[in-house]
Amino acid sequence: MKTKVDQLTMLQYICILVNSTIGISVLSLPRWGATNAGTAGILATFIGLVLFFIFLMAILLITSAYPQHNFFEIICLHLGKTLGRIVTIGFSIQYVILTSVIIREFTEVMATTLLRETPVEITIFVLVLTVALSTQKSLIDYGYINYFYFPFIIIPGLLLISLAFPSGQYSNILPVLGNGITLSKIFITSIDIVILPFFQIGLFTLFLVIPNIKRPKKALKGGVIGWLIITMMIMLMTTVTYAVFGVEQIKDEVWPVLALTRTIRLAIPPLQRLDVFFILFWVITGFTTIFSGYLIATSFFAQSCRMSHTKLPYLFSPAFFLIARTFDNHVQLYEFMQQIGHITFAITTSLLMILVIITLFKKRRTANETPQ
Amino acid sequence: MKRRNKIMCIIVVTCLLLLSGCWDQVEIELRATIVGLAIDQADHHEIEEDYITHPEYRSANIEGLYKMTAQLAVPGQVALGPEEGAEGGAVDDNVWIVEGYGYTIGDAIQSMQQKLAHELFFGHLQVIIVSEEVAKEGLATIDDYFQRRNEIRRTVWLAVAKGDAAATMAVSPKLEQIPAIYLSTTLDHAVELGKFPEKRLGDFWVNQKSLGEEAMLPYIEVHDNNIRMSGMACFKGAKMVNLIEPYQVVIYNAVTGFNPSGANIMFPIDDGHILAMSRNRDVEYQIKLDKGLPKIDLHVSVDAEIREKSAFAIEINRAEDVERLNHHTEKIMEKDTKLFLQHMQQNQIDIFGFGERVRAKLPQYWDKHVQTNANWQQLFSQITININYDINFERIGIKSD
Repeated sequence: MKTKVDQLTMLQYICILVNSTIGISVLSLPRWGATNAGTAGILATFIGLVLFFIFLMAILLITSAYPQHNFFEIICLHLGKTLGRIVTIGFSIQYVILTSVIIREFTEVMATTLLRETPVEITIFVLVLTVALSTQKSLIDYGYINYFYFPFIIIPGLLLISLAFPSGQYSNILPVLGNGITLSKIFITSIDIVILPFFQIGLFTLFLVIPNIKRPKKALKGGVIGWLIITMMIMLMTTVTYAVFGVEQIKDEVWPVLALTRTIRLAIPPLQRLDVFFILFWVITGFTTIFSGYLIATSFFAQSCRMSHTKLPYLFSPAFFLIARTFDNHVQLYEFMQQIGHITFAITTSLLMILVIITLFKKRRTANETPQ
Repeated sequence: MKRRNKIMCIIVVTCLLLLSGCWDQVEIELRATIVGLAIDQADHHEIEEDYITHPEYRSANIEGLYKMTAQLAVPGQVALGPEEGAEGGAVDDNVWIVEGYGYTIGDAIQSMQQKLAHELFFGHLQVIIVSEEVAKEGLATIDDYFQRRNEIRRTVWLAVAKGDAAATMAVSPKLEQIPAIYLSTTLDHAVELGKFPEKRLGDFWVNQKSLGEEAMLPYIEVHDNNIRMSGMACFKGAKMVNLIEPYQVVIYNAVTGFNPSGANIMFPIDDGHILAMSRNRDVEYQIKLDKGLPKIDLHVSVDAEIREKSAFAIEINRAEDVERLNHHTEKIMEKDTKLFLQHMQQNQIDIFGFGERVRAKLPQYWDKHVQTNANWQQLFSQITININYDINFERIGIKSD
């Protein structure tokens, strides 16, 4: 039995969800929408977030049946031990790949903007090392780390939005349904958005967090609040980027939100160059997402061996490093990101669907059994 | 345990030494900081001496010849804050001029780099000036280079100069130590004073790519060792096609509802003139489909201030006089705006962004009939634009009549 001290508070739970989901990929997010759906990209992003909400609810439903059990245990209860172990290890590998892609995306941003001379291997190595060191700690520390970094993500984000807002053009975000875009195209675009690795990482952090929160009954409420914060941040950031640049310019930018920070100008001399401040923002959002992904991969594997994740922090480090450094450039990286995103998304969807069906079925059976 | 600590110590110290990010460390003195760039057209003769990025035989098919002039800030020479003592450093001491020639911008910059010991640094770039000739040839190749480099800010000023761009950048007034910085300050203040809309490098790219709005850039010329704002250069795609006069820029600002305002316009009234300054502008658009064509109704509200009247006969000391003045100036502005709009429609240059509004408000019409920028420019010349002013003199000044 876990003591109260070892458990995560509701606030920490929300912070973990928000920090893990808002990641470095937000920088390129408006581009996916703009290239495929024009101004309807904003709507597509929103639909993507609604899909994300549905998945969030699915996971909350699955875990609500067994609030004290971790991912591996739940899978085993539903699918049996052998299959459960295979699935859990499979997911562990899936998150190694997804997180490596994010690590590389982070490194690409760094290499193009800030650390131009530093070899990418070094940036990747340092990042993996930092995250591995943090993974040595328990989930409680994970909660505290996210709790601490939460304001560093929200405040600069809101500041960026409010500073860029005045230079936005109303006509750039209209029409809502796009020019010459079919509804199915908008929907496909929203799928392209929701498959991005950072959404998937945010989603699965729930499996880590829920067995360890103080009051599992409030998991649903926390999930909804977390989702609202995520939606607000991502939608505001996307909309402002569209409003300032317009679709045609966004198509031309690799990281439109990063370019947004370069268009902001304040008259006060020491604040003229706000880039530095926003770099802090990207580093932290990147770090928290990568940390979560790393933890998911390690924890799932540890669970399947009935161990604590703190024992194996370096187990996957070489894998992360090697996968992250295979890419040559961001063009290759983003192509791969879409491919792997679609595959893992399909796997995740099918697993969650199976689990939801089994959970509902079991609930119904227990409901039928109780009156007898 | 002790041994483990020792090993940890060694690892930590090695990491500290190896991972401290020394790759990207650059001393400030070892940077060639560019503050201003001027781009002119060069002739073949000049380029032939400056092949850098390719062998001579491969240059046959490349079009465009550029001469780049960079103004570098000399570290240590530029005083921070006001200069002390009577002997200020001459402009020639504060800046260093480097020239480069090439077939593209990157080529020309490389040729400049070839003449410098330190690496060129664009992070402090304030202003890019292109000559009218280059602007008329098109700025597409220029865009690519500057957009690809991350350190160049989108708030850099891009301006078109009449005549020689390098000469324009070299104009050295007494107020600033570095001519390029004076130039960018001039442009900054011009916006604050309402002389022209804020069209920086980033805005230029956005407008140039947008389907329903053409780009504009400030147009400057040298007037006896001074920089004169001579209007705005209009672009069609990436090529400069037209020039609008300063008084037309004021109308442009009114039509787009740009603030801060502060432009002065002279209005003839009775036997004299009134000089009015706008204080605040506001514009409302109504876009409807009328007989198969978009119809735009503009309602511009301006809060104005009387700065000067030229004749004694003009009376403005009664409420009805001011009211009369409001109506009178509204009529004149409506006429001027109509003329200006007609002129732009004839040239098929939509600098006002009407197309963007049509795309936003009438998406079905746009999808069916317009779709591209070229189609819109053609359609722009056919549409009806009604303009209606509401000028309100809020301030009269401290003189009573």
